[in-house]
Amino acid sequence: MKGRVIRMARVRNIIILLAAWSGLCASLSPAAHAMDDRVVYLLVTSQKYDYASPWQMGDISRSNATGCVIDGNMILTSAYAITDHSGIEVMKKGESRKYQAEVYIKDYHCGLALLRVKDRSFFKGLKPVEFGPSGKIPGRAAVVYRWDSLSSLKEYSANLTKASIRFYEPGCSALMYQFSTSMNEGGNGEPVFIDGRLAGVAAALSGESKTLYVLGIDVVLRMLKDAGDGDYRGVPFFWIDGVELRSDVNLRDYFGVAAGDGGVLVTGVPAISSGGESLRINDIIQSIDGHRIDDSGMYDSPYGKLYYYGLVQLDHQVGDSISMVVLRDRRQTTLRFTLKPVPDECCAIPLISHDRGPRYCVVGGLVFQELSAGYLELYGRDWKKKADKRLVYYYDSVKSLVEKGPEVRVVVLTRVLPDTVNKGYQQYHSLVLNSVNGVSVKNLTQMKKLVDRAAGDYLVFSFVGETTVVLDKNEASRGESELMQKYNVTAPHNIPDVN
Amino acid sequence: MLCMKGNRLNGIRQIIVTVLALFVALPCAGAESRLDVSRATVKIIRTAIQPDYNLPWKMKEPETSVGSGAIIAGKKILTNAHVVSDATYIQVKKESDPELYDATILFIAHDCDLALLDVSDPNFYRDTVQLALGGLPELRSKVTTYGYPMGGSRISITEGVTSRIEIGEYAHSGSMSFLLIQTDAAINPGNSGGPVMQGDAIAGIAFQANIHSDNIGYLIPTPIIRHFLDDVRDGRYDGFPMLGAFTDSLENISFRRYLGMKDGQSGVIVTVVVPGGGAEGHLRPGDVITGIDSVPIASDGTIRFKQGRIYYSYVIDTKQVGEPVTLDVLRKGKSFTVRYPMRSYPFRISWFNEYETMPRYCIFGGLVFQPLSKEYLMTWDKWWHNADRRLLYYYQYHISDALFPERKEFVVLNRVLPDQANTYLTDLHDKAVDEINGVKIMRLEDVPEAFKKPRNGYHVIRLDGTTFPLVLKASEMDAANRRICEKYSIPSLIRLQ
Repeated sequence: MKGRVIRMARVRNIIILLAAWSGLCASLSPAAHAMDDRVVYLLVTSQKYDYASPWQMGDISRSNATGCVIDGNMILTSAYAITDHSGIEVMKKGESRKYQAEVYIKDYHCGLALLRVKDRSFFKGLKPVEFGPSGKIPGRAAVVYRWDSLSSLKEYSANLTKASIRFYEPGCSALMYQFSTSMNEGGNGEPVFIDGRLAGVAAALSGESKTLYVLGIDVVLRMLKDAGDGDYRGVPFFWIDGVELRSDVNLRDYFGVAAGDGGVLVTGVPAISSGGESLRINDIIQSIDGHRIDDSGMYDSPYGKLYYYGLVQLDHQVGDSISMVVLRDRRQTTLRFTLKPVPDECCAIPLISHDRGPRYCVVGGLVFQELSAGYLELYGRDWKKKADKRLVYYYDSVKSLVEKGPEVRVVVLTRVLPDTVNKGYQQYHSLVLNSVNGVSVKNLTQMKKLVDRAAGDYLVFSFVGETTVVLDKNEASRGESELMQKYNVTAPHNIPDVN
Repeated sequence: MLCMKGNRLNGIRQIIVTVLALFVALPCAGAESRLDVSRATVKIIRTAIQPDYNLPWKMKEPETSVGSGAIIAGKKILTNAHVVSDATYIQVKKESDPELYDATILFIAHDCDLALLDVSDPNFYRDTVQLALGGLPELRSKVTTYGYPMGGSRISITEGVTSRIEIGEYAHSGSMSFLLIQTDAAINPGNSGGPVMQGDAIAGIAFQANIHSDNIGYLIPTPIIRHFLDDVRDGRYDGFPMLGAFTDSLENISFRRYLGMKDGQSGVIVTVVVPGGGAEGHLRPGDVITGIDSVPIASDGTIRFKQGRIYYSYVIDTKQVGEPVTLDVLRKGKSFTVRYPMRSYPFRISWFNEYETMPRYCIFGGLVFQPLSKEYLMTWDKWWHNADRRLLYYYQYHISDALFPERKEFVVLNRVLPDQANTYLTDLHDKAVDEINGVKIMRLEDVPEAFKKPRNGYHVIRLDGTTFPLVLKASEMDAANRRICEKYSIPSLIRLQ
């Protein structure tokens, strides 16, 4: 059963990993030109935020990606192919002219992005792709296009092997096709066609298993429908913890599940999730909008068995209402609730590090940051093993942190910039801040206010684990500009609306 | 690092290894001894067997290893605990005698890595000498090591210099630090337990080496040896007492001023008063300890020691469990003195390596329950990275973060032995147990008790974190327990002691 609980997390990891891999060796496939008026080349300049020194930006890198033209003079590509972009240039048909593209929508929760090009002449000679059918598998044999350098559009054949639900943080499901392919490089927004019509957008490539992961056309169509009214709200937020009943006779008997019935046992219900007010722990979700959910948490879809999240997120918009039949206290009950959007920062600990700068604040050389996946990733790929055990525990408990209130963040002393004022504290790092001068800390903005408005001579920072740091308030502010200059800290904080 | 400052419990990763075979060095030159130390140095051959904390009813393969020992006053053999720990059979051999003599452990102290052995055959002591304990050697003074490195059959005598005297980690216990002497004499496996002489007296017992550097070996100095010998005088080893509180240094002057200290005053701040420790009721978090037994403590936590300084815990290490400590305390601007008897460490999750101890466990319906301990976590390869994250968090922070203060220990579901009665639970492992049949689990003993009272025909087990209840049918349990015993050849489903 452990497998059940961690399954989603594992899948998410895979997606992230794959997205990071792609980008080596070219393959020698036959050149093709059938789609060269629909497929465009993207040159992406990216600059990540520097979570280690949050007052500055990190490395600048350039990479290429592929997009396709869709109706309305827009370019569709993978969100993860243009992470942390500072600029995107588009080129067409091997012409050397670069056009500046701008991002219209970049949604890491569904993995897709839409770009626009101000210079309308770009679209001259280009045609929008035709979309494949939604809600069914259009065939098995596909063709993937990818601009290899500026001049040659490569065509790769690919074979559909599987359709399943995969997850992006925070728990957002996407319909993902897997194709076996000969591609060595890709997974960066390449359009995938079946019978000449768009079947999906490549999101990742596993070089080892030669598997191309492709966001299905349903995901694309949901996004376009969402964006249609000019107010894009994203994938509905569904953040419930559940465990499939499987055939566990004991568990079924205990909860009174009738023979032949299946479902998913709800084990955690964060209030901010859609259904957070309706669902309860120990409910067994048996059907959604009339679709029966089996013992493994799957429902019958045109793509075969899919994980039940698909019923909430695949074909729904924020604001839609869905109905669920749950078994509660051995009785079937119908619940109806409205789907909420993913919260702005996606949770108490931002789970997506792309395009998000860490909020920080430096006081007397103590560097405070709000805990985020981006910060933890500083510990390397194995950060769940290598980062401080307490910080990882907070990360693992992110859903219960949410219950403390929507404004609650985990404020961490990430490092100390050594200076006279902080003598004796310089070895501290990875400490979770509890309070400032006895007032409990909710987030960095409030902490900054507490520091600025502190009465008396001292700033007393109390950390979880009973570590205390005391600074002389006047000394800290007197030495601030010199300290900042020494360590090249451009601003003492980056919190908006605090002076 | 576990490192609660002000506490001796400090290391998790070990760079130091105990050396079950001992020192080598240059030909003898200085510190001539009139004594024939080789007549007091013995080779110790130990066969040991250790339990398997992963499958707690099983033992691992027996292993044989070789170390050294010193005959001391009272016709006893002094050696390292790790030379004889978990022993099933101990034999000793003298340099000039072909005979192997059987030895037994009189006392063993795992925290400071010392043991005292007895040989009952009176012939053994014929033609031996007994070594006396000396004092702390001066820095740069020469010391001579005696022992049986690499298991050789003839004694090896080497020489080195006293390079450093400080408080450092004793690798055998895994989490304790005491005074130790560093020497440049090469220490090799087999040297462990052998005497290191200065003049006619023991300056220390060779016990470990730093594997990340050349020629850094360590001796247990005589104050620690004397502590051990004093401790066992009453026929029982109690170990070292604990202050009963964690402290932090006060190197920042603003912090000291905030605490109401004058600029000339110094001390350390109490951060945690360990529940169940001796300091309970005497110290409070936020107290400043300015002196220990009338010795002033500097703001970095050190006291004067010989020509230099040493961490104040040294004063505690000179005392026995039950002896009082006197602390000068500054609380909210007021100075006063507290005096309390110190206790040994009251752990809820053991931070120490365990020896001569069988793991406690309880198996029910194929579910294997055990207390969380360092030994348990160490069953993972590279355990500090690979063991279950939540369990590691509990292990490291349960005291400082006051995790589940009501729990006397943390009971873990180690694994599920597959059986038809638990088919859908078999993937579960390494989860902390919260309650069974509505009973909160505070210690392992609560587990068999809670299983005596199923509810409505079911056993329901809840784990820490967001998870589903584990459900077993009460009526199937007797048969399942019998089946599991037989199928997995488990001699007993329970060991609580």
